[in-house]
Amino acid sequence: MSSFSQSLRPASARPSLVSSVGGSIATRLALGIVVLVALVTSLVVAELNRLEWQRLLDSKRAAGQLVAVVFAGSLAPALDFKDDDAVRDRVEGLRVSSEILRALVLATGRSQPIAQYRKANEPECSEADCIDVLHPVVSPTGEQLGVVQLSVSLSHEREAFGQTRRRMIGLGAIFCLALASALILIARRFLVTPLGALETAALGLAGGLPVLVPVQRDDEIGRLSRTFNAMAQTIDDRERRIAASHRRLQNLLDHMGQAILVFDAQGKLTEEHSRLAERIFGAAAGASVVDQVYPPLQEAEMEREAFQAWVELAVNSDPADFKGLVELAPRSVKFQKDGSELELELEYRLVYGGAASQQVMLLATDVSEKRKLERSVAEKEREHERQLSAVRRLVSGGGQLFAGFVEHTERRLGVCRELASTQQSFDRATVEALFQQFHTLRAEARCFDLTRIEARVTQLEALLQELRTELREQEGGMRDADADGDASGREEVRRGVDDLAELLTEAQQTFVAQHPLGAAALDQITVRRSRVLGLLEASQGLPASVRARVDELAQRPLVESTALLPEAVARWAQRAGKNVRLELDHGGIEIPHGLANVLGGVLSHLLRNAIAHGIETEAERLAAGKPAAGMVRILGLESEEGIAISVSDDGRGFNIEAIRARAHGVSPEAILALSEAFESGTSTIVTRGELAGAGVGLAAARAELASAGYCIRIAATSRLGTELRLTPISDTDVAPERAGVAARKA
Amino acid sequence: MSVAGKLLVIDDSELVLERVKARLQRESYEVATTSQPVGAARHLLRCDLVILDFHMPGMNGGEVLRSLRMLGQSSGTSPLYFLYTSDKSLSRGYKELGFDGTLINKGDDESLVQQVAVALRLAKLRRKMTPGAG
Repeated sequence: MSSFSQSLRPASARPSLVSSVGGSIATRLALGIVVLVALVTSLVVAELNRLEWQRLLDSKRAAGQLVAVVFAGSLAPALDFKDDDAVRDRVEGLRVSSEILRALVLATGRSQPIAQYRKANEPECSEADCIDVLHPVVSPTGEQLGVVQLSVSLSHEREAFGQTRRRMIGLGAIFCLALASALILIARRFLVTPLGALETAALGLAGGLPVLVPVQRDDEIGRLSRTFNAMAQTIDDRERRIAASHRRLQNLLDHMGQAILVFDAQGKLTEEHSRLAERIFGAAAGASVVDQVYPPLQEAEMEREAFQAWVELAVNSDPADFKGLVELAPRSVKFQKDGSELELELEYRLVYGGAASQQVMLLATDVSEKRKLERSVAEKEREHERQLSAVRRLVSGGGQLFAGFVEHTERRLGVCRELASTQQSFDRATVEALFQQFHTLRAEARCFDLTRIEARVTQLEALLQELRTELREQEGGMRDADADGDASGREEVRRGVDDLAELLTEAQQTFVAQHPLGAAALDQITVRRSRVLGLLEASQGLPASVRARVDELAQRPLVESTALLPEAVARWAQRAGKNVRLELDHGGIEIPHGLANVLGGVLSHLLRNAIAHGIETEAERLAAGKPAAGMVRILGLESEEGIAISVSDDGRGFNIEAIRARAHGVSPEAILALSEAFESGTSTIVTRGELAGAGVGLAAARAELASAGYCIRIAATSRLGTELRLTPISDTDVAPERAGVAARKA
Repeated sequence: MSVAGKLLVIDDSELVLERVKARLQRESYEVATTSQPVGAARHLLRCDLVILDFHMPGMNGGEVLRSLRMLGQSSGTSPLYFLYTSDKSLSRGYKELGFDGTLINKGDDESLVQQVAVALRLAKLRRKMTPGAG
């Protein structure tokens, strides 16, 4: 786990403040000592040599001077008597001395030397090889008689000096080495070794290790060591306090329930993050914050691009502008992690407002569970509201609808009984008429959850479907007429009608029992409806203005016809295994009495058809790029042409090819021109489903609407959805009945 | 949270336009729609985002895009142009077609709202990054 303490880095990682020079201080010190001692020793030896040579010269000069004095004294009588021969003899006598290299005697008043001698084979000696001594020759009376000059050899002194010099140089070298070694040892013991210990300790300190330098003396090094120990202790204490503070801060971060990241001016994550951030994002220091929030593999290219732009602006923005900039940052993100979807709410804080090192803290709160809970609660609330609404409508305003349903059903059952009681064989028209009546009845019964009526009607529809198939085959010459089968079919229909009448009576009794007003509720509703209907009937012979007022009085709110649809759509969708949402926008309109009588059933047909055929399954919708939940929508419209109802869905649209395939004997042009989907015997799906598919429902809807002066047309259809419009039949419209006939004839 | 903005939606289906407009207006966006690309440029003034259908009768979205871009630039308006489609292969190639981005899942109103919010944020951020544009 990364933490704030990791922000400490070893000193070696930082740039050195001192430029490095090769070699250690010990080497340089030793070299310096050797050079210095050698230099001093050389100077001393040279001076000693010079003194020794000077001493030898002085001694030789004194000896030469003594010889000259003695020799001058021995020449004085000979010079006084001007005995030159005696002088020469004495000079020649000097030849026995190896030290006297040259001798010369000059007499006073004479320009030429009286006597001289030079050793044979001896070159002219230089000042370095010999010394010259002069001494006057004086008579006993003190008169100067001449001068004696002797050149004395220095060869013995030079030999002796050479031996002495070699000895001194040798001794000097030995002394030099001894002294240098002693000095190096001293420097090593008292300077280099303690400094090395300090260096080792400093490296340990830089590495975060506990260090203590031994203090053995009270000199500068000892004081430096004590100071170093104090400094190390201070640093260690500070490190401990910082680490403890960081642990507390980290602990706080880890328990905040938020994934916290910090990113720098380059959009890279720093070391600081919470444990939750590590679990959700990985949060590797140096990683791009954009990659962390919007991983490249997930389909969020636009979000990535927008976030990247925001990060670039945010980290370089003026702190005063940051708040405004946060408005442009993503505030939530859905994040795939370990196969499940996380929903995170995002917040941003400017950590440091410095120009060069601006950082931004990102706080991500996991709201997945909260959102799931909210969605679950909302769904339950909607379901609860639907149930409450259903009960409320049934108990109050729904009574009107129920009374209407009973009235329509009784009329339908009367029609069906009449059709089934004919003594003639069933023809196709009779079967289709029965189909339409039963189909509408089934849809309306479903609206009130009258499941027993619905089940019985379903049986009758199946029977009629068989009859329809038989009739088609007979018409096609594929089978002969079956009188017995036809009679049993009629009998079965009659029994079904009787059963339905009984079931309807039971339903009325159930309603009356549930209503707080009891039987009086049904009576009141029936009476009022009867009064309005009577008024409508009575107004037929009256002027148009009066009839218009009565028609207006008989109008019903559109909402009354859709009141039961929310619950019904939810049920139908559930049974069809689809996810469908109903949107209602009544527009506050009222619809004509005739339309109100049939609209509930018509809308049921259309919505069931939309759910069965139009709306795709969730998988199909997602594959088509649509939202998982389908939408069906009823919209009340008021225009110059009159009241219109729009019924739309966002399903797959009409399958024209399938309709063509099922429209027997009808040309494609006629199908398209006449919105053939509403002709009996065709359907928009190939496989019959539970809800629709027999093709009768839409034809029944069309016929019902026609009876109320309305027609239905396809306003738009595409793979994105379909819109149907229920509009008043105008003079220019082809009458539905005629259109149907034309289509069939075609 | 949505960012206020002005949008232009171009699609040949009035049904789609009606739905998109109604949904986006619920998010407080200023929405102009048209099914006629010719003359759509008059809506570009102060427009932040243009949402374009691709398959339209007589003219595809790429041609409309080029035309609008040219007209927009000449009038000093530079909105972002986003392709709106449910065709994934088309959507993947939006850059090659010259669009600034793509809105996927056509027909999914909720997804549209979320994507439009992101696109508007991107438009505003780009404007901040290049002061003087648009």
